[in-house]
Amino acid sequence: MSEEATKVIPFPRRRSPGPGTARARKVIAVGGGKGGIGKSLVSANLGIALAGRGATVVLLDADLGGANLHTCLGVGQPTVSLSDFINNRVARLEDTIVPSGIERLGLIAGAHDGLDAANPRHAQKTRLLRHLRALDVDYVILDLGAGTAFNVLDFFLAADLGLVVLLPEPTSIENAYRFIKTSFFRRMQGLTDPGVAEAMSVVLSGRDPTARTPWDLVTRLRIDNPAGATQLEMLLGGFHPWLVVNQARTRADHDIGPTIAAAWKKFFGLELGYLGTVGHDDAVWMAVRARQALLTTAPSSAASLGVMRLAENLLALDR
Amino acid sequence: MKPFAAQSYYELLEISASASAAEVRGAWQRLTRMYADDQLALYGLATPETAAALRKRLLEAMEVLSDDELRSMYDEELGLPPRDPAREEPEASQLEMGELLRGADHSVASTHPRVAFTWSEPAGPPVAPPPPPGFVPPSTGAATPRPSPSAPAAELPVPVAAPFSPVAELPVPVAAPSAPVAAPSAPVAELPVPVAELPVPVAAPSAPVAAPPRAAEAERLSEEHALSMLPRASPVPAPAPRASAPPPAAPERPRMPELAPDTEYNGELLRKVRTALGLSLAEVAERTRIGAKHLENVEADRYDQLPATVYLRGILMSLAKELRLDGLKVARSYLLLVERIRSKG
Repeated sequence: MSEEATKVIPFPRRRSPGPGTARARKVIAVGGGKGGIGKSLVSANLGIALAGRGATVVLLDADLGGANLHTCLGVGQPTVSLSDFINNRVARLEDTIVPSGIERLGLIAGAHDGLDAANPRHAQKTRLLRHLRALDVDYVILDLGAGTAFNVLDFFLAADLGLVVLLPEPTSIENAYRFIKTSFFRRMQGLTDPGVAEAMSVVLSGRDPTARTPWDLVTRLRIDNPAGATQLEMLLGGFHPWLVVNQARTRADHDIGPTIAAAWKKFFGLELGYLGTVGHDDAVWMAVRARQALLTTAPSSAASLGVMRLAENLLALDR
Repeated sequence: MKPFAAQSYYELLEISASASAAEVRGAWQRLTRMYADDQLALYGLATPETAAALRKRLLEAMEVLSDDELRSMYDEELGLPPRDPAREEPEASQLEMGELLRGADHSVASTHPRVAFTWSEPAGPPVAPPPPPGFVPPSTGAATPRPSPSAPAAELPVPVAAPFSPVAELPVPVAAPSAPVAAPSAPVAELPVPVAELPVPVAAPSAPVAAPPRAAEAERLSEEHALSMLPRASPVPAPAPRASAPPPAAPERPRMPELAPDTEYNGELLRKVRTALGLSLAEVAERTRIGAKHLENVEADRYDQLPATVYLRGILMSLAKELRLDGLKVARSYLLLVERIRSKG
């Protein structure tokens, strides 16, 4: 691992809207450890649903190794992609946006060439994020790749809202926990105060009798290290992933999202939201086979309704 | 990483400090199911041992918070203001029979005695409040107000002394009163936690309040009655001294054992203190609302038959208070003994 890759991208600050400043209202990252759990499906159709509600949306295929968001949207391989921006063939990110065939929804197709794009350098990531934030849209949705590589985690952490997709099965749940934990630790690497970082690792290992959760540590630090307390508080406060359960079949499957969120809080004292559940539906694979977007071909299917509920819940977060 | 080990019982059960006993048990059931071993959501989050430890803590929390006395002590420990359990909604298991049956079968309900079922240990039947000054009791023996706890109950043939009066004495079909007893225990059986783990036995129906005393008792009661009708300064019926009876057991009363600061409080010693104070087991059982059987087991040092530590601590504290001993000291000393014996076995 190069030194570059271990550098942490600074986490986002709240932007103040005003002339000439960045405008993307919300950057949403869709991740979740495992491959084949429907990250691209959720991203694409969430984009369609939000666009359908009147928002302007850009979908970015950030699955740098295996991009296929365009297929989920029923769009052919675009001629311009993220690779062009990362390799400086295109100066502005806007110029890589291609129409998705859906009103108000733009697509930035994933990198599909070379290992270079799959492992962008730190400077490239920072530039990409800066340009993302400058996009003049309501929502930017990042469809992340599988795994817990730093590139994936950094995009997840840089987003305003991180969605963790999982299936109600042990392998997927295990990976989802791993993904959340790893991204939390990645975030904690942003602690520049060595004293705070050390205290934090003691708390996280459960060896601190006075601080049961990281939040207790904030309270304690407030007294003798206010700067450290503020730094930790900002790092913790921004860490609030949201669960999306996909392919739920049974009643218990539908209950698993809230249960995981509650269990996480019980064991770690950290926030974990539950955004919603998408039911298992044959309409999904039929849409994929037909290379059509689910929400366009089967808008009244159970899965489509599930995605639309996700969109409504997202919109509700902004109200 | 075990934050739950440090959570308060309220945090553990995710309830407010004003939650009713029914809410406490509801939360416990929900969470015990939620953190069961077959729970998919825990896969990769918690080991089976951690989940078991959490369930144990949940059980402990439920036991303490659904027992009024233990909960009051716990609240005090937490520094919470005292609750007023009387203001709580009555929970289903404590509803009177008639209430439960109302609507289902009105005719049955109306003929039932008013039997209160509680989830806690069977204690003596609720004590009727002492009659106000000038109170004229009805002439029927059955409705006699019970002597207050300060009366030497051991000498009186009141039903208080028999907290375990057989159900057969009930003037109603046996099956009916047992039904609501089964109800509160039913959800317990569904839980993945073996019922045997429950240190709180499902209460047997306590003696019915309105159980008619046997003929002889009724006669003596009405004698008591006559006494209670005499004009009196205090509303509390004073002990009824029998002219021929010796002054209350003073000569036979055993001597108070010596109590040094490092005295080890075992059951035998507690029994000695109790008898030295002239208290019967039944009296202590009634005043503390602790089952006589538990008290007996405590005094006989039958450690293997005692309830779980958390529950036992409450019993010991209450008992010590009644014996005018330092509750904390007694509980600590006794529990140490129990621990020692249990770890050996």
